[in-house]
This record gives sequence, structure tokens and C-alpha cells, in this order.
Amino acid sequence: MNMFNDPASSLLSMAMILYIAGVIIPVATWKREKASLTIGLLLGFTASLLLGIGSLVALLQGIEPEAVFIGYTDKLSLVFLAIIGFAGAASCIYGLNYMTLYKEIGGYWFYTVMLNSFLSSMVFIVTTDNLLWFVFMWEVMTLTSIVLIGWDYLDRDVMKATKQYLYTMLLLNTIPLVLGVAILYMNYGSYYIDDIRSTLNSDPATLLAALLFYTAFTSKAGLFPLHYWLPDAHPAAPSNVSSLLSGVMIKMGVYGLLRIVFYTLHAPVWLAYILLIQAILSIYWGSFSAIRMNHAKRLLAYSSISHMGYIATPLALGYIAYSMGYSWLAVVFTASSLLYVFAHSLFKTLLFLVAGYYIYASGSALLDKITGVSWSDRVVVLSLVTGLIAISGLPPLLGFTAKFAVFGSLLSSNYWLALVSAVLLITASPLTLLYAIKLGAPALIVDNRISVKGRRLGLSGRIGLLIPVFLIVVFSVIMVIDVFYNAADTLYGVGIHVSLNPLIYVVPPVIYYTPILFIVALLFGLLQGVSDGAGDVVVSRVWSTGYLIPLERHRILPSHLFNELTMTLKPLHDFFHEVYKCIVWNIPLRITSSGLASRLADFTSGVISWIGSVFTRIAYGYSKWSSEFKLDEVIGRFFLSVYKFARSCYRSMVVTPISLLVLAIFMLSIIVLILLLVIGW
Amino acid sequence: MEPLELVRLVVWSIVIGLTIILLAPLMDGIRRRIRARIQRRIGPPIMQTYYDLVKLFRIPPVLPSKNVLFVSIPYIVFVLTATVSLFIPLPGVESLSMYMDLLSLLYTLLLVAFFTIIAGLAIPNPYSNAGSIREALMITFFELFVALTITSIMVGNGTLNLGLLPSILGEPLHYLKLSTLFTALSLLVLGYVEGKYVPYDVAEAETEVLGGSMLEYSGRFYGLILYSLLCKRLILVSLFTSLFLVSPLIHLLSSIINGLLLGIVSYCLFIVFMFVTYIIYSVFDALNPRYRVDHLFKNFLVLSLIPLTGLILGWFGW
Repeated sequence: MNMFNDPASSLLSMAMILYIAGVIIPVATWKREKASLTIGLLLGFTASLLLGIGSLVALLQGIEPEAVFIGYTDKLSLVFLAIIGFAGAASCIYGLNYMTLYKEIGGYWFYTVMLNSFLSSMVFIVTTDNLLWFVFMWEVMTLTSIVLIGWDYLDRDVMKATKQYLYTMLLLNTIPLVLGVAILYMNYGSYYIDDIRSTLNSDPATLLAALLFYTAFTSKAGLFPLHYWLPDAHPAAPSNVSSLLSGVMIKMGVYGLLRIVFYTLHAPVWLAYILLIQAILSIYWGSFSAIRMNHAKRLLAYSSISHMGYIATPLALGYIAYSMGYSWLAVVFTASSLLYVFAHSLFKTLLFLVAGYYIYASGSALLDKITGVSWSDRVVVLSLVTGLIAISGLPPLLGFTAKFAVFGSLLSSNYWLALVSAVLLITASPLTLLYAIKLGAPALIVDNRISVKGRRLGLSGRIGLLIPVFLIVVFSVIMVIDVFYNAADTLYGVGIHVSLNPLIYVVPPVIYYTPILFIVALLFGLLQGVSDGAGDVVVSRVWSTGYLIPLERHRILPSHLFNELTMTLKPLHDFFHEVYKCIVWNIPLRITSSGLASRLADFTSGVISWIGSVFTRIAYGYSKWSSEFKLDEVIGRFFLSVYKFARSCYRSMVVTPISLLVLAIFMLSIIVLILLLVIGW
Repeated sequence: MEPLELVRLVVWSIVIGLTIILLAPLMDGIRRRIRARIQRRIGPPIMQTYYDLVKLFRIPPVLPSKNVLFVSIPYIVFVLTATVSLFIPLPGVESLSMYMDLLSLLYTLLLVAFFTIIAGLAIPNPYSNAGSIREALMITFFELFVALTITSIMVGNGTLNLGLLPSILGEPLHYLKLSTLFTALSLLVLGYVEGKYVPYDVAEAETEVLGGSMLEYSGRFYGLILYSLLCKRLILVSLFTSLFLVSPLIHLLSSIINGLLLGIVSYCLFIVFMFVTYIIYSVFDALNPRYRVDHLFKNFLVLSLIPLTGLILGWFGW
């Protein structure tokens, strides 16, 4: 490959050719199950690794490589290409070991074709400059992911989740995207991002397109009200696929928001405020739900929702800052968001692979059934502990660097909304610690008498685990923050090339973080512990306060962990109840007892009491130990009841001309209201 | 940076770190003495904690397992705490603290807590599991307070860097602001709560028979964890001392003296004020009852009003 001068271009071109080969060659070997799996996954692995290394090299050199089949590769695209490459490499090589669990289903050639198409479609998404190709590849990504999620099609739950995912994506991705592209083409006569951006006008059609794209991307990213498909879809897929779904696919929503909604269409700033609210709600919703889960992959899926909130918060604030004219601040915010995307991709890929190991070794991802399972393999212990420290955002690993970048940029901005967000984000961060402990502690139990003896991973599985571990450790020591600054700069165009000392992280001019000494300390402590060897230790059973019962049978199971949260959230419930009572009973009496004022007071107290009762119900519902609160079903119930009501009216012939007229006027007024809003803007 | 200057930074850091590590058991001895006197007891000698630690390091440990992770955690915990103590700022002196800020310091202490929680949950003993859960929940509930404290310091001073904070806080115009009072108070409370003094020791439950998440450790392993807790207490105390008590005095003195002499004076003041703060903590420690974990939530909500006030005042520049 001497077509190109720089190594990055050659690497990327080779990666693309290998991806295409990975789609074609397994078809040829479809009769030989094992051979097609090996060939397909190895091609995918090599291609992904080359893609990751190539894009990283290009990022570090600061160039925009050219490559075959690839459109434009600015630094923003390269960041996402690196994510696809590294997560794809780990997931492909892990699958070589892990997919032996799905022997009965067979069809390995089809699996590898789908996996490679899935990966290459995402590569095309982040590099294309043509909206039609963008939507086409987005659909390829969605359809291949549907096949991969429903791979274990004999399982009824899996099929249910797949159907839910299919309908959701049809309704919230395909239709809005196609409509949006059609509207843009009607308006601008071009599919090219650069053409649209250069001739952008602010008529309502553009706004409508931006709204449609926004819906599609936030639903793909799993942000709060549209996240409901995610906790079902991620556990249904084979673990190495779920690592790709969570590590890469939901990041495509972030890419779409950045590249199309904010960069190309210059969406109105109120959309960014909505995104901010969605993001913060996602953080709390995802974290609280994750603490409740007893299924490792379900827990991780909810944690993805919460981490997408951490990613979207600085993203939204960056656009708000940009619209207020603070371009440099916008770059700082967006850079921290991109760093979080990178970090989250690595550690979530790792932890989904570890959750896959739970299934591989003990046959179950239920946390109660995986007692001590990680001790079958030291590599798993290493990756589990690395992943736990990274996901809980603790120093000195990459998770903290990312969290620190977000907190630091929010704190240093001196903008009140950013400060409020920072307080909310820092407050939510130990919730991550809680579910990380719940995820990891049962697998780390050190007692041999109750441990589940699991199957050991093969070499390819271990390599799959070690790739993200290696990358996390390397990027924790050498923090390539300037890469992300420069990537964010391509969007907001400040035109400054940042180069920072990779060993000290500075959010200028305020916040400093030097991880290297702590990594050394951690390693020193670990080595000291290993070399201690516990030679003189007397091993005895756990202390049972004098009782003769074997205490290990009475240990606290993971499904009982943090049940105290219910008890401790009761004051919150009581608090809301007090507020509610106080407002409803006291204030109207005190204000006045005459005429309009009392009516106004009644109305106000009515509204406030309604809000208070909503909060009270939420707190009460939470403290009543419901396992999962499904938003789509709650919303769906409303529509269902409307439908049932309409049907019963129709059947009992209650429908009179007058009621039909009222209904028609109601519908018409809603449509007129929407039109007025659109034209008004 | 010149190598000589780097050496000076490292030497000062090591001096501060060693002071904290070596004085920690002495401070604990004083705390125990004060507690005994308040309870009308004679109490142990002031050096008692040193004797305890020496004895713990000598006796052979009894553990439920020889597992690598379980054995390594005490070492990791101690080494991390000792490393954090290198970054404590001393006003008037340049040390390694200029490469550290409050946010990462508090999060590193959280990493220490994370390891002790994992250690408690890795053993199938319901008592140590309960200790770990309590510790995790306490961290979670307290985080609102921590977030508000960090934000109020950031808003009030414009930085979180430990190297810059003492000189900014030392200026009289800055020091006499109302918001600084609330910030100082919240850092004082933060040190008290994170140091796990009596009402907030729900994890160890000193007043119960059992000892929280490190229940199954013994011998030198327990000694290391205990020592690291003592160091953590002193780290938090010295953070408050040097930021809010020593820095204004050093700012006044810096017009008279400078150089090494200023450093030595600052160091002496630092130690004196550290004792004073620790004694205040000890008195509170002896006077308080014990909380259940669900009491904490309400308590922390009320306490959060302190940094919230500081934050609001700081935002308006008062």
C-alpha cells in the first residue's frame, strides 16, 4: 500500500478493505461453521485494530488522512473512528471465544457478515459527507444491530426485546431521518453537508428537520424519555455485541447531534436547553435504576444511560456557550464531552465483556449466581478491577480523567447554569460507585467454599479483555487531551491548535491533575501486597461472633445490596409530603379569604399540590421497591386508555355529532398551535 | 523547571507528608485522652496508638483467605493515603501541591474508600458486608455536601488548585468576606464527616462490637488500614488548617520575612493550628452520639445549607 504518503492513510485504507473482505469472505465458507467464524472475526479484528491505530496516529500527527471508500476525515470523525476501531477489535477477538456458547443456533457465517457490516456501517456514518448515504448507512447499522440483538432467537425475552427495538427504531429513527433528509433536500437541493451548511437559512422547514434529526439521535443515544429500548436490547444481544452497542452504537447519536443538528443545521439554542434537561434526568434515572438491577448486563445498560447523560451535559452547554458567543468555552465543554465518549467507550466495552464472562463461566448474568466467579481467571480479575475503578470515575484511571474534564470545565466556566449542572453531576457521581460495587463485588468474593467454579477463557477471550485494559491504562498515564480539544475545535472553529503536557491535566487556568504518581502508588501497593505473600498468615473461617452457624451462608446477596437506600429515601418522601401538606393547607388560609385573591390562591395551591403529589408519588414509588419503572409503558398506558375509551364510546354509540365536532376542533387547534409555533420561529 | 527547584518542591512535600504520617498516631492518642477525660476516665497514655500499631505489626495475622486482592488492599490503601499526604499545601512554600487540586484529592480519598468497601464485600461475612454497605451509602449521601463545598470554593476563589488556594485565601480582602467563613466552615465539617468521627462512623460502628468493613483483617493488615484512616483524618485536618488558618497569618508575615525562614515559621504555625483543630474535632467526637445510616441523609441535607450559603454569597461576591 504505497498509494499514500502517510502511514495513517494506508492503515485506514487497509482497514476498509479488510472490512469489505470480512463481509464477503465468510459467505464463501458458509458450509464450514467454525472456519467462517474464525475467518470472519479475525478479519473484523484486524480491520478494527488497523482502523483504531490508524485514526489514533492521524490524531496524534494532527493530519486528515485520505483513504479508500472513506469520505471526509476531520478530527471529530477520527475520534469516533478510533472508538469504533478499539471497541470493535476487543469485541471481535472476544467473540471468537464467546460465540461457542451459541453453537445450537449456528449460522456463524451470517453472524460474522452482520458484525462486519455493523462495524463498517458505523465507519461510513462518521465519515460520510452526504446525508443520503448517512441515512442509508444509519439504516444498515440499525438493521444489522436488530439481527445481532435477536441472535438468540429461541429465547422469548430476546425476541420481545428485539421487536421492541425494531418498532422503536422504525418509529423514532427511520421515519424522522428520512423525513428530515427529504425536507432538507426540498429546501436546499443538495444532500451534501457542506452545501447545506454554506447556504443555511432559518426558515421553519430547517427547524423541523433539526427537530426530526434531534429526535432520531437522542433516541439512539438513549437519552431520558427515549431510552426505554436500551435496557431490554443490550442484555438480549450476545455479550460482545452488547459491548459494541453500548460502547459504540449509542455514541453515533452523539456524533449525529454534534455533526448534523448543531454543526450543520445550527439548531436553535432552546434545543440545547432541552438536551441539558434530558441529560441530567438521564444521569439520575439511569443511576438509580442501575442500582436496582440484579442482572449484570441490565445494570450496565442502565449505567450506559446515565453515562450518556454525563456526555450530553457538556455537549449541550457547549452549544449554549457557542450561541452566547463564547467559542473557546464551547470548545472546552465539547472536548470534555468527547473525552468522556472515548473513555466510556473503552470501559463499557471492557465491562460488557466481563459480564459476558459471567455468562460464559457460570451460565448466568444474575449477580446472585456468580459468587467468586472471577477467580477462575486472573486476567478477568485484573480487567474487572480496572473496569470498576474506571466506571466509578475514580483516579488514577481514564474514567476519572473524563469525569474530571467534565467537572473541571463546568466549574471553571463561571456560568451559573454550568455551575448548577456541576453540582448536580458531582452529586450523582457516587451513585456510579454504588452500582459498580454491586456489579463487581459478587464476582470478587474470595471464599473457596461458596465460589462458583467457572470455565476458563481461551486465549482469544483473554486478548479481548486485555485490549481495553491496556488502552485504559495507557491513556490514563498519557492523557492525550489536546486531541479532543482539536477535535472540538473543528466544530466551533476557534482555530487554536492546543498542545498540552500529556502527564499533567490542566483545565486552563484552574484545575490540575497529575495521575502518574498515583498510578505508581497503586502499583507499588499491589506489588507490596503480592510480595507479602501472606506467609505467616493463619487461615481461619470468618468470625461469627461466637455462633456456630457457618456465616458464609448468611452473607448479604447482591440482590439485597443497598436496600437501605429505600429506607433512607423515606425522608425525601416525607419531605415532599410535608411540603405538599404545608402548601395545600396553610398558604391558602393565610393569604386571604375573599374574592379573586382566594381563588388565585386556590388555583396556585392546586397547581403546586399537583406538582408536589407527582414528586411524592415518584419518591413513594421508588421507596416501594419496584424492580423497574418502565416509562414507555406508563406513557403507553395513557394512549391505551384513550384508545379504549374511544372504542367503548364507538361501540355504545355515545358518539354524537357534537362530541365529534368537539374532538375535531381540539385536533385542529393542536395542529394550528404547532403551525403557529413553527412559523413564529 | 530547573532540577534544583524540583528537588526543593519534592523535599518540602516529603517534609509535610512525613509530618502528617508520623504525627497521625500522636493526634489519635490526644483524641483518646480527651475522650477519656470528658468521660471522667484517666485514659490511655498519649503514645498509646503508637504502641497499638507496633503490636499490630508484630502479631501474626489471622485472615479468612490468602487471596492476592484481599492481602494487597491494605497496602494499596496505605500507600495511596501516604501519597495524598504529599500534596497537602503549606502557605508560603512551594511544594508538589501545585500539581494537585481539591477535586482530585477528594476523589483519591474516595478511591481509598472504594478499596475498603470491596475488601468488606469480598468476604462472606454479613457483618463486614453491612459495614461496607453503610460506608458506600454514607459516601453517596454526603456527596451533595462535597459538591456544594467544591463549587463554593471554586466560585469564591476562582481556582481549586492547592498550590494557588493558600495565597488567594490569605489576602485580607478575600479572607474577610462572609462567603469565606461559610466555605471554611463547610471544609471543617467535610473533614469531620470524611474523617469518620463519632456521629459519622456508621461504617466502623465503634460503639458496636463489630468493626465495619475491615472486620476480617488482623495483624499488620489491620494495622495498615487503621494507620491509613488516622492519616486520612490528619490530611483533612491539615487541609483546613493550612488553607484557612495559616494562610492569612503567612500573608501578613510575608512582608517582614521571606525565603526559608518564612517556610519554617509557616511549618510551625501549621503544626500548632493542626493540634488546635484536632482538639476541637476530638471534643466534638467525644460529645456525640451515634447515628443510624438513615439518620445521615436528613442530617446531610441540613448540613448542605452551609456550603449552599457559601456558594450563593460567593456568587454575589460578598
